[in-house]
Amino acid sequence: MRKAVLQKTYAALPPYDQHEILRYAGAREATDGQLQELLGECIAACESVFTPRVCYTELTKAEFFEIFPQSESARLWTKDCDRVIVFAASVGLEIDRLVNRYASVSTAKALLLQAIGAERIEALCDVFCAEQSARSAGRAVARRFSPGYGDFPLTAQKEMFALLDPSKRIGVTLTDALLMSPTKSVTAAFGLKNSVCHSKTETRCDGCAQKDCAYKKEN
Amino acid sequence: MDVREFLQQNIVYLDGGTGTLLQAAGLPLGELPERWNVTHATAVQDIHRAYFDVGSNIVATNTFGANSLKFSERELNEIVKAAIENVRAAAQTSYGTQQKFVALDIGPTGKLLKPYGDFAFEDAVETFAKTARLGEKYGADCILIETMNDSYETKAAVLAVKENTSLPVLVSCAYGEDGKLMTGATPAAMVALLEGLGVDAIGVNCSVGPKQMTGVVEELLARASVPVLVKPNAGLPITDGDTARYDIDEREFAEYMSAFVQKGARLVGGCCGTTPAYIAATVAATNDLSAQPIMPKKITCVSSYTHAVDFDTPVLIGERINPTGKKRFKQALKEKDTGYILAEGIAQQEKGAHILDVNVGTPEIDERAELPRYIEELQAVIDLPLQIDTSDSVAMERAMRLYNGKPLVNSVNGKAESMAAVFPLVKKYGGTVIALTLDENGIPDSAVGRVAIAEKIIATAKTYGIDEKEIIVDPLAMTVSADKNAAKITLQALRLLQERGIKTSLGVSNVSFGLPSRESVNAAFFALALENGLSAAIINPNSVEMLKTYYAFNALHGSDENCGEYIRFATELLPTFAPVAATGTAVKSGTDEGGSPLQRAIARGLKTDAASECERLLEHVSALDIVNGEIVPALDTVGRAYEEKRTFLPQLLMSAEAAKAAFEKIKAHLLSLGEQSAKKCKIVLATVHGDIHDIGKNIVGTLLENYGFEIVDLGRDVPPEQIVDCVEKTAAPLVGLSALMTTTVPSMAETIVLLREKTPWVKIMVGGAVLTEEYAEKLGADGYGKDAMAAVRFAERVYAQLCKS
Repeated sequence: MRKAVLQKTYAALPPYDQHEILRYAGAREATDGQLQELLGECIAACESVFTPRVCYTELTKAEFFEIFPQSESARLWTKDCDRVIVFAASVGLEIDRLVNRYASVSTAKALLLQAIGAERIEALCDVFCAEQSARSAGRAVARRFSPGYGDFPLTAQKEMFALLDPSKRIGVTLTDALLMSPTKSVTAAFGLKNSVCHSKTETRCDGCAQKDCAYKKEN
Repeated sequence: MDVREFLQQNIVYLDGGTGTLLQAAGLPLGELPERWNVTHATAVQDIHRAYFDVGSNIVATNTFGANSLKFSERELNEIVKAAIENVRAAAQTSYGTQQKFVALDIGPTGKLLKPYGDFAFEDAVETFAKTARLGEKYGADCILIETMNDSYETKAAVLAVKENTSLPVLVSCAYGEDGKLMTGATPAAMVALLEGLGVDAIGVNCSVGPKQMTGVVEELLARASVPVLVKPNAGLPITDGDTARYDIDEREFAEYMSAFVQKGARLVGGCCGTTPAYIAATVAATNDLSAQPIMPKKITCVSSYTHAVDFDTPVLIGERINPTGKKRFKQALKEKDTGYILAEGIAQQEKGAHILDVNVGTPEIDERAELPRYIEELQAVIDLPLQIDTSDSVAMERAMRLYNGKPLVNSVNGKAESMAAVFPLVKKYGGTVIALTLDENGIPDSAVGRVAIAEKIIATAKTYGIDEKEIIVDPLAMTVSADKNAAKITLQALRLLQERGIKTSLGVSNVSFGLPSRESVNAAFFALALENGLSAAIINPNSVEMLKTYYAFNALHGSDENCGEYIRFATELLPTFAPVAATGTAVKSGTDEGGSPLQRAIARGLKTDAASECERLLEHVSALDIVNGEIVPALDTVGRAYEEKRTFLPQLLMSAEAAKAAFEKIKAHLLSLGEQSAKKCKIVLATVHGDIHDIGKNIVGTLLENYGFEIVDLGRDVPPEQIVDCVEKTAAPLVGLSALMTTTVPSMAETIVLLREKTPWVKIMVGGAVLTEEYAEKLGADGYGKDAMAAVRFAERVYAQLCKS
């Protein structure tokens, strides 16, 4: 039987997290006025740039592992789950155009704009996950993972695209090198736990082996 | 009767959601539906027949994804042949008595075109062409290109069909709930593009239900001069346990479709979720309606990948992308300094230009290669329609072919040779063309004479099948200092052309040539020209006088509601023209920082201050002393602070840009003296094949440039051969390669192997998110840039070695 793939367009996303944007841009500290001003300009330039869209389907855990390659990490991350939601999300191509537009005029702006795009796509994923948790009567959302995480191979992108057909639904395409375009796009899966949501949320950096990462989140 | 004729007279019924029925017939998950044409011919025929039975006139083949990316050529051939036979068989065995046609269905490839994806435009054309040729070979009556969600890919598909078949082509796009294609095009932009390409019907399908589609259908009907096609989904999807269904039943669907037909839609059918029952209901609800006549719309417009620009209110065309009389611009062209040219475009857009003229004709460059390249670069980052400005018809054709929209073409004139060169291109690729009122006998010195040439051009265009609305006449602004009646003749001609209903354009500033304070004359002439009906002006958007005239005229002329545009101009745009203060106040106040004002401006990343300080210094300090005594030390201070983690990447880049602004002043100063700025050595930069992320490489490039290196930036997704070729040609001693993903590291390795073999002298540095020091060593690179400063340090070492040896 063919799985129902649903799609959703978001009119708005939560407010910008400026600290997060600066983190993506490689700036760790609260900053000088000059940078703050530039960031303000970049955020203003992003007005009506984003078109947040998601398409998704819900699988049983068994179905998930029938479709996707075997992976210890995926097993671990879907422990205590009986359903798995697989989704693709994107904030659209315009941000890529905007970054490129400034790439030749102001690299600093281009850097901040791409950081804004990264923050927005993460925000979109967070909003979507929270919605799915709410929809499933508050069941906890397990760790979100994407092709390339742990031993869940990057080639799983092919299964993702075959399952969700995101190029038709939300305009996300896959290159021969398995990169997504628009670049501010995510494909991911997460389990719905059998238990109800408990308070501690893992940051995305927990459980990552890389120690010397410029982007590591501090708790 | 063929499809084209049938379209002219009738309401044409299409089929519904074939995919929906295939699933119901048992198509399993993961199976390509196109294969069923061969393996389950009877099941496919039954589906087609069901639509013919309820009254469909055109049924599309089950070939949505039938292309050479998914199938081998042999299988593709087999599938298209079987698919057409299946529809043909269904038509013959259906009890429906209506006129029946077979449409070869072509859907999007699922790939995004370059530069944002990895699919080259000409590869897309060839992919579609393969399927289209098979369609004609096996007897399809027409081709339906449907569910397209990108304007550029749509253009590739239409060109492929037109160049390889003589079949009628119906084109339908998937507009989202925001009324735009996924990559941004409005219905108006698509009508402009598709009518330009000469398609037989334009429409909308999929994505949403008929209710959400209403706005798009109305816009198509208001603008299209060809039949409009509507194929909605059966509403929006809702989940029902594990399956999706749609939220509108056939009765409600048919009501909407009937309303569309009454408004003028001529081809109606359904997409996802529309079973034969939906089509039956639609036929029943509209059978008694008469087909609305298709009225030609007299809209003169051009388009970009997002929007159309109409010439109903005066349009400003920015003239700055043009080397004529500009040393710095010519040098940028010679050095392939794309950033400089893009910046000129962006600046004009920010000053309110509606269209950008693009002219890169200078004897030192190969215009036939460079014009199309700049068109591609500009349309990747600027959403304004472009005016392709060249007298070389080969360059013109290449640029028009690659242009993502319907271009403005500059220009044709009354000479037979010019018309014979330009009109076939306009006919094939679409475009609105500027027509200069001169011919073999020169420029007439009377308004009537110029109008006569305009009439000749329009009449000739018609013989090529080009409508009068696609010709914008330029009655030529001549120099008033040479002939006191020059301006009057032009203005009279404008008036005559306006009365005749012909759109007009002028290169306004010619009028003041040779006079002092030219802007005053230009502005007054511009106002007079507007009053005499001028539709478009080619101007310098940096000229505040021209903009003042433009906005004031619109306000006075009753074309600016509540003077809203004027007020916005006066309050938002006008202040950006204010002259920059002689020296930056911000720099002076910083007493806590060391160094000169220029050094402080760089340290704090103040671009305008750095530029004006540098300009001030240039009055009494040599360029070399400024570079070595001011800019380099300032950059070094910031660079060290970054390396010691006292400052961060954004600040480092802001300083780099401030330094760049200062360098730009030095460059201009040296050029005015006829000198060139000294460069250290060439460095070739590229993001490797398969990788489309290039921000890291751009950052490295910006910094290296600041340190005096000459950067040859090959961009992203660059094949190894091209990198090697460039290193060979430039004899660069250093190349920098960037890769973001593990999947693209192999192509970095491949590049390094090839470089070692063909250009053994070159040093190689690598960087990118996925790389580490050890990894870089394993790949055989000479240096690893863990960040941009590390790349600079490595380059400096290579350069020092070079100087020693």
